[in-house]
Amino acid sequence: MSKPGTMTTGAQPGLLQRAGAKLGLARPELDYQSPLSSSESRAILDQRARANFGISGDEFVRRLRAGELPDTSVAHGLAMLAGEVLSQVRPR
Amino acid sequence: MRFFHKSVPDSELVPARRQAEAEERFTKAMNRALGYVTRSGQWRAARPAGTGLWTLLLDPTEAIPLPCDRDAVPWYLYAYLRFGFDVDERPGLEGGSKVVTREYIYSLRVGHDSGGEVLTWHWHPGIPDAPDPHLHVRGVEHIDVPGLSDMHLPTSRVFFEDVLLFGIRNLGVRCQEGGVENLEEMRLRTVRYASWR
Repeated sequence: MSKPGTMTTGAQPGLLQRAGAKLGLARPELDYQSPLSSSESRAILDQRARANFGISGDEFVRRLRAGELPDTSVAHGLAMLAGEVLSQVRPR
Repeated sequence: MRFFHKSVPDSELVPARRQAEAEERFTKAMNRALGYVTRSGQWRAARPAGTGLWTLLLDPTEAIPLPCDRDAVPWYLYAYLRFGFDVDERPGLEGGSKVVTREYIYSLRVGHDSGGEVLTWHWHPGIPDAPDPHLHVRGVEHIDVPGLSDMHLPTSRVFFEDVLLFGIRNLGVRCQEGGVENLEEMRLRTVRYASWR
């Protein structure tokens, strides 16, 4: 199994595949990635909440529950990752 | 009877016996679709902490670049999807377990930052004032229609393959040779067996 975020290709790619790979077009033969554990999910939530909102994952959840986050795709997406109810995202 | 033969492995033409098997197939199928346009990332499934819905997220970053034609702007895909499981009632697959999508966000941005969002398809039935599938077209203005870019423009259900095909056909997103045909086939299969649309 490959590491998270990596993809594997066949051992003997054909000419077209190699050419496509240079263009970023080759079709990867994806290994199945085992589901993220809840601790991994929390770590990703924390990282993405800091990157998008400058706050920790816990603070993101607090603000989400308080209805203090905007109605944006980023807020929705992180709410999904946090396992929170989306109705707590208040449209502004 | 096999209706589809190119993009559907034989192993997926028999019932998934467990939820884990259904989840694995679903994640693989989503990654097959994504793999036709980019190798910069992939879908990963996140288990819920409790008994809630599972989440698919893009990894390693939440917005991944889509290789585009040289004269196209740098498009990025941002997406999340939440799913659960149901008893499979599809012909030939009765009694198995199937994944059922419960919420989705598919967003196309110019550049990596969220401020570059242009088109975003949402379905989040938990939000009372916008429970149905809809589209946001960001950054558009009309002198007689204030707030147009924040309006929820109604759509039918939008599938991941729809978003990729839209990008390929309209935005200069590149696709692997034969990918359009396979994405169309995957879309037809998904639509055929979708619980709603």
